[in-house]
Amino acid sequence: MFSEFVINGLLTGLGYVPVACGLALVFSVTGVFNFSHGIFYVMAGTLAYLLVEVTHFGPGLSFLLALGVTVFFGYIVSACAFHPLQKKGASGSALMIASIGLLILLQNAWLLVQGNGKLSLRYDYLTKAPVLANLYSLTLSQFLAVPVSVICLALAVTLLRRTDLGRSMRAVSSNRNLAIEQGLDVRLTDVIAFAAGAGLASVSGFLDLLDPGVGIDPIKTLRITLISSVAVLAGGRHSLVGTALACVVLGVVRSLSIWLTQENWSDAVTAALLIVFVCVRPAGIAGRAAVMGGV
Amino acid sequence: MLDWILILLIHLCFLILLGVSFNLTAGYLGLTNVATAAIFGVGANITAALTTGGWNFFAALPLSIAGGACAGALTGLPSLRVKGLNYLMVSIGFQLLLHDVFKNSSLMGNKEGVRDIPFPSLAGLNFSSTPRYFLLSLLAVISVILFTWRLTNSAYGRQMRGIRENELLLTSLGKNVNRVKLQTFAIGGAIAALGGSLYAAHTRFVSYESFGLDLSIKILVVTVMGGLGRLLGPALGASFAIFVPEILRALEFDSAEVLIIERMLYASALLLLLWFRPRGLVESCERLLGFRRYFMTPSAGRFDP
Repeated sequence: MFSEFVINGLLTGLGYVPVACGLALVFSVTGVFNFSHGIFYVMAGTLAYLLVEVTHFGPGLSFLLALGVTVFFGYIVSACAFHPLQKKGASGSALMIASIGLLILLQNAWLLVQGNGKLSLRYDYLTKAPVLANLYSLTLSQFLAVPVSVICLALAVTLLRRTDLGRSMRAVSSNRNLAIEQGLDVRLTDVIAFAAGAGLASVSGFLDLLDPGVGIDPIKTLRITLISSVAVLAGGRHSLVGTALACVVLGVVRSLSIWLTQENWSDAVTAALLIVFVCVRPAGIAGRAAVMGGV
Repeated sequence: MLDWILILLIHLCFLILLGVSFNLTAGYLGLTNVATAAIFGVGANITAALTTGGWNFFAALPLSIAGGACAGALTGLPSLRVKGLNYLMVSIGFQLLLHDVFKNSSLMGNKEGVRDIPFPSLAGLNFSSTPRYFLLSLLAVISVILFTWRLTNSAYGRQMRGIRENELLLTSLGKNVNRVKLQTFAIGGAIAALGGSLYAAHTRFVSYESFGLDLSIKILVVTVMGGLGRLLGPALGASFAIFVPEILRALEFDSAEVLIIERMLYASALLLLLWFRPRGLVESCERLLGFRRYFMTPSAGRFDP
């Protein structure tokens, strides 16, 4: 029983890795703690669902299209919502308050249009629970979580460490004003960070869409944002690998909190962890030395 | 018709109490605290639990206020270490944590909420009629505004503003900054809990859904519109806001839609304020018309802590 909860938590946590890394990327590069990050997750999942169920595209094409639209939406959010504020030199908290406003606006717009309710794709080859060494029954989505999150993390780290664009992003992350003085195009890095963040968030959305037990629900927007926020804060704010590790640990902690209390206190535990990390260890588990793109 | 207006005014009173509470920390201390809705919920839930358990409302009220003050001081505790963006995150954490506690714990309401909260009555005087309840709420609002007027125009109030402007300087002058912070948070919590207590006895039904992050954002928008760090700012902002649901209902949206659209309106108002009028609507109007500041506030707060 215990080990089942641990493994479930581990895999759920791995499923959060892309969305949390997206938030870490956005926060580190642009300085916006984007509390509306969960919107990208819900948006990508819902779009993919609609494309598959209504227009009857294949899942692969639907996912690609939904990913494209969400990435473009990330660009829109950065250019229209946050850029005017950043241009005026708004502080971190003003930017975060704007993102909370954006979260409430978009989440309720989504509720108004689409209504409440869980969406998930059902395929025969997905719902048949594969069995790991005849001990645990896992869904395909849980199996996919491992390679997908590792690939996402590797892609993000490669972008940051191996490309010129990534180098500019790291420079902006470590000292924004100096980067502007050096003539770096901050607007470009902001937009790229938001687009990449949205893309990463949609990967988590697709994973959950494929899991009939989890599914996509507009109500979950805030929860996903909360989980990613805690992972980013615990992972050291600027470290993608730290964020990924924190995600896995957080998944296990959430799962164990359900196991311990028999009730759904996992969100309360996550919120409490947010408070504790900001107050007690603002540099997170990775420590102060963590820099963007570092391992 | 009269009842309708009075009910509207009663809701205005709740919103003013919440705005004043938010204004104390965000406007005077300069710490944006979005856990106000949760403290409101603490007051409402304590009153609901006690009065349905047979207590008199006026016996439950002091306990609710004390509970709110404790919860307020608790949310203020991290402000001794962190401020700015970090404090904002902590307050969001408190908001979500308390919201989840209301949802899951059987002590503080639960998923179904608490129904049939009795009307307040004291020594044969029954507050079940709307006009009487309005007078009760008005009394609460007036006493709270008078209290904050005295508080913010005293040496203590100058210390509060000093924390917003330059905390280090205040410390070097030998002032106990931490004490002022905690006390202000406790006072703010007590005011929000007073509002929550009155709210519970008026609607006679409390549910965790009424105390979410969106209410905190509504309070923030209302206060910023009226003017942050001004005594009457929340009251002014709330008077605009109170008509929003009524207008929506007049446009024949159903009640679930009214709730959703109202949230969307507040969220858009927040974004518009941040983009175009970060100092609030009232100050812009004042500047446009060349008014003096409408009430004695030596320096108004900024929405950019």
